[in-house]
Amino acid sequence: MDNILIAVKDIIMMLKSYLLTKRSLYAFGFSLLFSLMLIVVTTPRFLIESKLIETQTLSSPSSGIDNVLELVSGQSSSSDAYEKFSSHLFSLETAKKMWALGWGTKIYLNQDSSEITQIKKKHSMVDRFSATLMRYQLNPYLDYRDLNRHIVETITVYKSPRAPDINLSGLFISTELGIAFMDDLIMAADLSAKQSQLATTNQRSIAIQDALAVTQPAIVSNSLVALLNSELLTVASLSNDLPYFVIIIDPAHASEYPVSPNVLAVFIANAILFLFIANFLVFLRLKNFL
Amino acid sequence: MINEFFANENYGGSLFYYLFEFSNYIFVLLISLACLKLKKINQTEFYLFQTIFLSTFLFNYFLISPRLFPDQFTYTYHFIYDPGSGLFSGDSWFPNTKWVTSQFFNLIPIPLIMTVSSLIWVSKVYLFLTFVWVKKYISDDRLIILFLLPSIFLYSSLTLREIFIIVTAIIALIHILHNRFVLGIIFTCLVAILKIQNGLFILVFWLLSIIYRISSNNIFLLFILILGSISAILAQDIFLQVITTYRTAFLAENILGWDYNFDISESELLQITSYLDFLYIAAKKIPEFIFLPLPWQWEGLFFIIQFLEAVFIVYLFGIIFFQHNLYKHKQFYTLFLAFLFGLTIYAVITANIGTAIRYRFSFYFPFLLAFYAMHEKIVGKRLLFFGRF
Repeated sequence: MDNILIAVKDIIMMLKSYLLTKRSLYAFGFSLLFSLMLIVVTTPRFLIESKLIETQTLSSPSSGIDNVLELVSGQSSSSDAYEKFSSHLFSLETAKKMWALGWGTKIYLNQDSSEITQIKKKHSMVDRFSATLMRYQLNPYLDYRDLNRHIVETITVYKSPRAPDINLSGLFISTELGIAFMDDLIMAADLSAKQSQLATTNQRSIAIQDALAVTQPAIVSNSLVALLNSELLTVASLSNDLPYFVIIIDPAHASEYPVSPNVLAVFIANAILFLFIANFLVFLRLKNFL
Repeated sequence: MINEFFANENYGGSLFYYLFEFSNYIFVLLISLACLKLKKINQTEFYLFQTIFLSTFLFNYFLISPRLFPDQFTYTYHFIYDPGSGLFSGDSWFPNTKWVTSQFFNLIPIPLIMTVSSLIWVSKVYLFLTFVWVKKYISDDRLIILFLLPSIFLYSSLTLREIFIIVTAIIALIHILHNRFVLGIIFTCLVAILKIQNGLFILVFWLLSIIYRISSNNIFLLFILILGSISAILAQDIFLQVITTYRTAFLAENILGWDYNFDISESELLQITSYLDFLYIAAKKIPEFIFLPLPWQWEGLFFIIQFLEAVFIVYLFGIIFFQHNLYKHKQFYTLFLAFLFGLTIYAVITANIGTAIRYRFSFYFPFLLAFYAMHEKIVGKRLLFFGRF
């Protein structure tokens, strides 16, 4: 016990000898100045979030492994609505739709203008050098591929394995822009997924109708009719303007305060760093490293 | 103080992440400096632990996406937004693991909890303090080698409860080994709350140690063995049903990612009908479980590293068991039987490679240190790891 007390006293003395000095006071002062500068030059960013839940889509005939999983779980296997929605969210098709909605100018020029059709693209030195060396053309204007990259970099989509809700989030400088962007993105992604599903369903319906045209045993014909009914039901469900794969629980909304930078945290972090660096430099000088 | 950075996979792409996490690192660095000053660790250990600390920056956001281990977000969320849910939630009789994990995180006051990586520093501190504590029982100055295993770097660099399971299990095992049974059972309960099956394996060691402490007479031990066998036969149905539940749950959780609240009677495919069946499955699966992931299952560099680590750990177990004939001592079997029991259960119930590797390490590592401490306690001679190293 005595040893512990002596050790604690030693540590307190050591901290005192390092922290309660004029040098530490200067370091603290500099940290305050640096933090102020950092906060002033940083653009505040708000968290935009939206909560969705996936709908149960019409399931395709289950495979052997599905049967095993259903057997061990006692539940039917989950719909693939989330996978379809999230894949389309980051697809070029969705980016193309967003670009057509004018999000190119809104994101890259910060203005809502349908007159501007081409936005100049800035290429890095390395890209330009590579293009010159290998003699290929760089795209001079931004297009939907750039918007797709922006979506991938900005938006996070997450579905907890143990909860039905899907969360979309992203950091935006402007709350109005962020909210509108996320709402449009959800609709565009769902529309892409719907169109893809509709194309598949239509092709499947045609194939079933072709099969029905040929004389079949009654049992096969009945199955085909049931399958065709199911496909036609899917077509009917897909042919409207409502989201098909997801249901919007909370439309996009912004955090009340900017998420970044966190002023208090920046002050504390800088104070710790500056105090440490100041004392570490003295330590290095004492050990003749400096 | 708290912001919502952690909700984003990419921490907003700003350098604030590094500013906050380096401040947290300095806090951990000061703790290690204090231990160095107090001569609790030597300079080599101090520098090697700095690499363990700094590996925080290597995994989340750099080598892997934090979403690869989504539980990180669950624990951080629980810690920040739901710290007061209590030990028992709802109608459950079993303590709320997430709440207990939150309390572990709460005990070390990290200055800035800003991202999903911030709580990692708490795990690092626990690991470091455990190392300092274990040094009292394993005087070998090469103990640090065991703390440099790749899995230690990985699991201590994620906001998971793996390190808490390892730390509490090490403390429980060493207390029991040194006949401090009350402290031993307290820590065993903590392990059981964090990972019930690991708690059960340590409980077996606790029971066997008490029996050994009462008498190490051969006739008495034979009597206990017969009594144990009769109890096991009587409890066959319950035991096998629990094992089947876990087998099914592991398969369901790992493949479906759902909660496993389903009707067990439906899972006939995984049903184990007798001890003979259980032993047959165990005999088939233990060799595979020990060396997972096997070369034909490799899907990247991580798998190769984990295979090499598995081989190295088996080598270490071999050295501890056979050098200086530790296996010839009766007390060795109190720990070995508990270890074998755990190994068998895990080999039988785990269903997927990733989970098996993760669970195996949090089970292996405390037992490895406990065997090492037992070797020092019983044999008292220095082990040779690598020839004349």
